[in-house]
Amino acid sequence: MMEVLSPNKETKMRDQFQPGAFVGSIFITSGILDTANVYHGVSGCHAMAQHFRGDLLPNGGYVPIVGTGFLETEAIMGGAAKLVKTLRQVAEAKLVKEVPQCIWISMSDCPAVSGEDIEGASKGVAADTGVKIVAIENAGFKGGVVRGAELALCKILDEVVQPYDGTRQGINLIAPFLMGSANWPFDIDHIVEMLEAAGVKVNLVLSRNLNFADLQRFPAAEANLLLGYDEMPDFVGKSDSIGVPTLTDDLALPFGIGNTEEWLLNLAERFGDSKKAQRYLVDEMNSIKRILHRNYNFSWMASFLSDKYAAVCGYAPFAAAMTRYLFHDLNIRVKVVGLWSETDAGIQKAERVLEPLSDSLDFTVLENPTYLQLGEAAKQANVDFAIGSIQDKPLFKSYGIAHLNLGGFYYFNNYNFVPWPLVGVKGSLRLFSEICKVVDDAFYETEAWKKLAFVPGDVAEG
Amino acid sequence: MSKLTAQGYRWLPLKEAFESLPEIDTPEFNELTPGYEGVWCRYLWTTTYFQQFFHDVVIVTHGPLSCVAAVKNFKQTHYSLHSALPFAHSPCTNMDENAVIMGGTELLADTLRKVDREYRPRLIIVTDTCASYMIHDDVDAVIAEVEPDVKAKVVYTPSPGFAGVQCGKAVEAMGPLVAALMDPPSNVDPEGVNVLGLYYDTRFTEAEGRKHGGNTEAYVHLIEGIGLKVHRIMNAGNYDYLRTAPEARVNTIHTAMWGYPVAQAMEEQFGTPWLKRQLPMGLQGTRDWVVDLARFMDREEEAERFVKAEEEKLTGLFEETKKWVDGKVLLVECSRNSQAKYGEMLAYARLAQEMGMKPYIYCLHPMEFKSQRDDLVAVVEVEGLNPPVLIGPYPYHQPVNVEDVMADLGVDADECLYIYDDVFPYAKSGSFDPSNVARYTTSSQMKRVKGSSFLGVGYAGTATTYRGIIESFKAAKRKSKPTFFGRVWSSTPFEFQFAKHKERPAS
Repeated sequence: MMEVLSPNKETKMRDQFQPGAFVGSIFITSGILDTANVYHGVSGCHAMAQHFRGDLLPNGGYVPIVGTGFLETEAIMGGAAKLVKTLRQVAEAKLVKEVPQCIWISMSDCPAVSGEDIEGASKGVAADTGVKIVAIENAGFKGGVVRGAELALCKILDEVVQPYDGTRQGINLIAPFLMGSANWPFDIDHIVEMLEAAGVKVNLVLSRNLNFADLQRFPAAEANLLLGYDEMPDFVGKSDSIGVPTLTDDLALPFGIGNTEEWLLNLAERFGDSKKAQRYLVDEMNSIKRILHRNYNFSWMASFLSDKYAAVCGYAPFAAAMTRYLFHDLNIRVKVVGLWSETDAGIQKAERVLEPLSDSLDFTVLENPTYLQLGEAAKQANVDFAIGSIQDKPLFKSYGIAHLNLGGFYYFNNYNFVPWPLVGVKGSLRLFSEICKVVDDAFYETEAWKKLAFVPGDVAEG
Repeated sequence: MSKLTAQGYRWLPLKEAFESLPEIDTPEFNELTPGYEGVWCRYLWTTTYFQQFFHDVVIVTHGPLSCVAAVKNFKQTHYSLHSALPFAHSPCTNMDENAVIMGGTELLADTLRKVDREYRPRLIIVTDTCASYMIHDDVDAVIAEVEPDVKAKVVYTPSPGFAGVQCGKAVEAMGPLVAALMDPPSNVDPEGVNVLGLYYDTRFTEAEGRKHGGNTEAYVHLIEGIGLKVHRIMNAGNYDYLRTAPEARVNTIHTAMWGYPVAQAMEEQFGTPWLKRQLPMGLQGTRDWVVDLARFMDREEEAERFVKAEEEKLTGLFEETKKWVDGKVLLVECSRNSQAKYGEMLAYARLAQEMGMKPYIYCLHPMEFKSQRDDLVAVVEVEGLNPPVLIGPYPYHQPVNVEDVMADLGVDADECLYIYDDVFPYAKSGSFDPSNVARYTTSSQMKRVKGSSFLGVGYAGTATTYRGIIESFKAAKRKSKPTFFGRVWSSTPFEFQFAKHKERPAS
């Protein structure tokens, strides 16, 4: 049975990890490699944006984020002069290596509350320099990463993408960082490989390793596939109006083999070649069997993992898919699932994805829990390990619960430099390896080893 | 003319450099150092500082979740992972656009009541953010409104991000706020000594299960070594630990930047005297710190015996280190986090100078430098140190290149020891790498040595530093097989490329 608890439904108070809107925008813009970001606001926010921009680096590229030097004086007197000066210097390639094809402006709460006109400031510079400038009103109080991504996507559709009436084929993959996987840069690259192997044309990944001109391909897709679960009504409406609908299926992300089979065959049936997809899945399975079949280490750990108890917390798409993976693929009993989402729709979608487990697994879903509620629930459920992100590692470890950070964003979350996915059949190898490590951590008798360790006779005698 | 001179940089003695700079937040400064904006903000400094009163204290953020994420994203995570601070619960009023327009005081009242009920803390500290501060939400009025309903003591620490992106400015403002949380002493322990000015560290020791010691052990050793008692090491502990801090006889200082503002406020409020010497590092630096304390507490004989015995243990190592470094140049690269601790980098300079090295300080951003008067007082006035510092534009917070610094000073790879204080050490295989230039990690984020303070304070810390310096010079003798990091950053990652690179005429 799936028990759903919503302990914070009656309050706006939250204690969860949700970066602000400007971070979501910068995730989108920083995948467009021949552009530059200008950040207008206080440096605490800027530092966070710069950190997360690092997600795009592995097998990707570096898109600068140039701050305007916003200090207390600008908070009082206004910062338009510094913004204009910085835009001009970026447009003239004095602060960046090459003249960018577009400059994206993001901003923090401070200039937003004081009503700074970033749109107006950009117009003069764009006219003088001929460089396209897109100003995004994406202060932290406007929402989280989902809303920020939506704001950037809307600007792209409004101000960049041209009308299109040609043929449409394939799908656009939208906002891959919203999957909630700490491995998302490598995951999205493999998602593209999987889809193409299944005959599904990937028209555009918005955004990963694009040029500014690539954005014009947006309307040439048959549909958008949002990699997050939250609603983006403004983006969906604008995309609909240019002829690209957005899929609304309740698909679990392809973590693990059960989820991957369902996800890939569903998309292949509509946008590609089902037979091709099936052949691909079999080939992939054969290739991992070559590593695991008759492998004693694998048999040992597959048996050892079975029946263990776990908690999962993270952004709704990741947490829902991971729960299904642990239960279906590894026979692990997930007892607590913490779902974080910016919109009710995101939570509800995750719950629909989890609902089929209800007959075969007893577990509790917490909707947007605080860390305290999450930790207490995991403690009550006596779980052996938790899967979350680096931000909650000290929480679970303080309860004596082993912890594995697979969720969240890439930045600071893991030290994985091996470009291997967690998604797909292929990704099962790494997922399984990671779960083995955390279960080992949960059951290694480290304290007993210390207490019962051999002591040489002369030392024992003092 | 050197490249640095052409770019507008010049070496000045520390004191003269400080005095040559205009006041921060002025148009003159913006002209001098265009595009500077700091690294963090007052909200981040304040929350992370107060978060260190753990166990029974909760920080409530009045603002958007984004601000909390900025702290959790790096600071709380890193401080927990490698500096032994516990997980910080961070409830937030989750201000949105509607609250920015309509006001967020109801959200704050609701949050305070809920936090009191569910988290049951002894103390709630309300921090605000740019958004809530700018719309003039009356936090004090909300606290007064909820006070009858909540069991916890609730205090407000104004912390809008924009009002102190220069770390010195933000930290200075915190001194009175910390002292305001303390109670007047009912008794003063005549042997009790406080240590003020620790930041993202805890008094949790290796003996209690910490993997790598902090600075606590070092101070316990120095204070108990002369027959006194450690009363409080701040910030750490819980609310009771904090509020009873004024029961000490004297306050001593770990770092001036974080310690002086609290010491000054405690002196004003409770009359607690304080000693200005910071960071006992190196034989002389440690001696001076201990003797200052002993003189104040009338323990000079004990101190002389203690210091002599400790110094004798290190004499051999000191002399050996001196042989390696005598006459060499210490390149002190302050980088982004030097905003939080340039005093620490200068303590290494002091230690090096004691061994016959000549320190040069660079990448100390003038805006941060100017915002931190307490460090200047500690270094120049208290310690009498006045090394050269590189002043210049550092436009948009860009560092200068250490190889340009070496060229400017006219020194080669064998004449230098390079130290740095953050996560961005310079490395380039083929020219500047630990394999050919001595490099010692002094970054407090990165340096962890079992059995020693990670900042190198006290005698164990000093010994660790000496050993580390010798090891760095030995490592740089190999002149081949550069590090992985250096190869990744270099256009000549392989050794076969070095020679070809050198053969090419300079462009």
